[in-house]
Amino acid sequence: MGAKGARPRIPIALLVPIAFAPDWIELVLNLAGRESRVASHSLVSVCIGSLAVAIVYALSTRSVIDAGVVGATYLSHWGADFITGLKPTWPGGPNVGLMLYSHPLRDAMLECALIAACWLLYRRSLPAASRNRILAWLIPIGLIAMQVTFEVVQNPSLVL
Amino acid sequence: MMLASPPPLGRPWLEPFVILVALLLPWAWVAVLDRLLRRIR
Repeated sequence: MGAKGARPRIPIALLVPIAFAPDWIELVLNLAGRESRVASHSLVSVCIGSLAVAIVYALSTRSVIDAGVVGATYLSHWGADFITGLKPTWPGGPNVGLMLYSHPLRDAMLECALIAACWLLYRRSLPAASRNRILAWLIPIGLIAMQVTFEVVQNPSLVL
Repeated sequence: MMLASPPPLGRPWLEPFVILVALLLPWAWVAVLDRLLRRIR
């Protein structure tokens, strides 16, 4: 959403799956029975993936700045994962991260705050007539509801 | 928006489905609302 706020021409329907690209790769590898966190989530694989999507986007749109933002969106996944969990660096390298998942409440608060901040950036990309509509507010409200639901599903002790 | 990969659930057979929902739901939510908001005149 932050990237959409910065570069409104990039479709958000493209930015969202790109931000989650390592998870999509992991899911496909899992379903194929070839689980590899290094292939999907390592710093090296995320850098390669980020460069690849940026090049494809640049070639298809001729916009180098937008392509850079698309690449950075892919790269941001590793940064977010570094804060919340432990992620591989390179083949044979260490796993690094702040492992905020071990503090679910703090994790939920941080992720919700970031949703709100990114939504404020995203909102600037909307037509003026749409910015204060309930539909616009439904975006962060729905995402925060999903976030809280996933946190509770994964940590039932938060509500019990 | 579900900023990072979800943590392991401890039930390996369930994880691909949970991850699929966690990936598809925010994508659909944001994409549909964004489209509607840009159509408003």
